[in-house]
Amino acid sequence: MSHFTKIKTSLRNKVELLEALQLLQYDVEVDKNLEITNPSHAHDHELVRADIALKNDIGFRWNEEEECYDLYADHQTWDLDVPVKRFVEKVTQQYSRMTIHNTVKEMGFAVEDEWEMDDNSIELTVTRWV
Amino acid sequence: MPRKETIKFTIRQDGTVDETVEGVYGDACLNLTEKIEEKLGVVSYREPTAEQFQVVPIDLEQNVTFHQD
Repeated sequence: MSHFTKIKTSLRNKVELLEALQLLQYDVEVDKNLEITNPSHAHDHELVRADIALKNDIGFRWNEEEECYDLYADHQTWDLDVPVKRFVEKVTQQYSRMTIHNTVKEMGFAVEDEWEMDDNSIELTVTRWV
Repeated sequence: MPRKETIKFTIRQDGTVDETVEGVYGDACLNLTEKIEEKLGVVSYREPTAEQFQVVPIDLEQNVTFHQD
């Protein structure tokens, strides 16, 4: 064993974010204005241009300062199959998975094993001969 | 002699990633995963293990075949 590292993932790359959302079977559109449908909020919010939109009022937008994608949504009109927190976790997990797959492939590694565990984590082993 | 490099990932339910590298010696180990870590996010913890402090082993053994006429 050479080293052990713990990484906190942030959503930085559009390609892998799109792949993650598609893997989770969400219909996505790129570069779309989000509509604020909640009447109590519609007057107070500026129009949000989403880099990636899932529905008319849920989307991701690039945050220049933090250099990552932020989720834009209205808690009151949220109607996806899972709560907001769980949705972010699921997207982040699939994003991590796709980022690892794409990066290790470029580095010449091949996937040896990939398992979904009982605790909902994913075990992924990649190898290469040098 | 070819050497096998292995990286094991555990992608947790919340998307955080645990990564373990095996079969890579010295600083090459850190260089190997730098690209992956850079793309994923922020390294919050790193623990060097024994292999990281070793230099690349020199293969002193060779297979030799003698041919007799």
